[in-house]
Amino acid sequence: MSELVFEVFISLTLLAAGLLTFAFRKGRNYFIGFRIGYTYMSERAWKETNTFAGLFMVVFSILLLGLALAGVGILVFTLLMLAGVVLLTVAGFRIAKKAYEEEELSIEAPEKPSEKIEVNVRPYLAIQLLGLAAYLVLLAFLWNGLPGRVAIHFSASGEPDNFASKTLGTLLFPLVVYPLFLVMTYFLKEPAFAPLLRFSRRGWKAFAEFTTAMAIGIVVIDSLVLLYNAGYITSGWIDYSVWAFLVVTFGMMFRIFWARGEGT
Amino acid sequence: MLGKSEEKALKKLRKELRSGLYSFLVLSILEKEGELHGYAIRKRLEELSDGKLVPSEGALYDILKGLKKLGLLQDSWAEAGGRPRKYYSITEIGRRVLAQLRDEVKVIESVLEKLEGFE
Repeated sequence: MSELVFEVFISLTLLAAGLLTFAFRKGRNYFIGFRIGYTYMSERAWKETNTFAGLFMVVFSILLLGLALAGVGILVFTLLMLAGVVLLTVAGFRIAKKAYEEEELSIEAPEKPSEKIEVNVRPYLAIQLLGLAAYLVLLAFLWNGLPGRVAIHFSASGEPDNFASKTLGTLLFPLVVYPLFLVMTYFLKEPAFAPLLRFSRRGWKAFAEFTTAMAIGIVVIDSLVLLYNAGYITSGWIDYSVWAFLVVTFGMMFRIFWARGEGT
Repeated sequence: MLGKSEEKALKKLRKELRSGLYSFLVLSILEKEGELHGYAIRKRLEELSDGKLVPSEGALYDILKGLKKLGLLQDSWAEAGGRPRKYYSITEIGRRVLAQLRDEVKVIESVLEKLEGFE
């Protein structure tokens, strides 16, 4: 697929998503729209956020289409697209939160709060950051012993089947994926992130433990890949660690669903 | 009946006068009653002023957000009726600032009383 075809496809997909979001802005649904806790819980937040999100995506997709037709390179196009998605997410979240909180002031509530659930995500964030730091320290120690091209993916039989340059292969994945877990953990503080979990002490803890275990699991796998590339271990170690990671992941996902039904 | 320009001026001055007053009243209510939901704050203002000093939802949202930014109040979420509800309480800094503002208000009251005496 040529770069132009890919860029036009992405632009048109975004345009279609924008038109659909705008068309479904008036009614909450589980399939089309800017779907976060605030918009699920408030008709007003849904309408305001999806009106913005729909219009933003339509305008942004036309801009991207124009750039694609003007021959912009794939790297610039991808970076612009990601910047647009981040902007849409942040702005949409703020609009939804403001609409929800404004609506809050007009809906009768008990004057005094009932039992509150304090969400403290700091220990989980600290563990995840320590994991990232440990990976970077190991990388610094092994750097000179790593080959110019490193294995980044392994087949089911445990043989490396995809390679990248040393810098890209050792830094890109951790620096792109780790923040995802940090952000997911941080946003547990927001009642809108996962309202059903937020109001269950067991629920939010199970979710924070899940994201932390995922982050640490990836640190372990990436560290083993580093050790393999530096020639200290065989690829069999990576194979076993991925299976162990999958078992832990499914176990913890089950635990979240179980904790959700348990209440506080 | 007021003319259009008079109405515009009144609207502008009323807005200016009320924006500071609302902040003062919100802090006073929270100091007196402790932690309250935003709806209850609005209701108290309505009761105390016989419906004459009731900020719009948008105005009260901005006031609460502004006071929080200044560190004069704090908020927290609690669940009620399956919905996250936000509750506000005054901070220690808020209490100290409110005490200072009370002195200012006394001066304003005294000035207004004196002005009325001249009429």
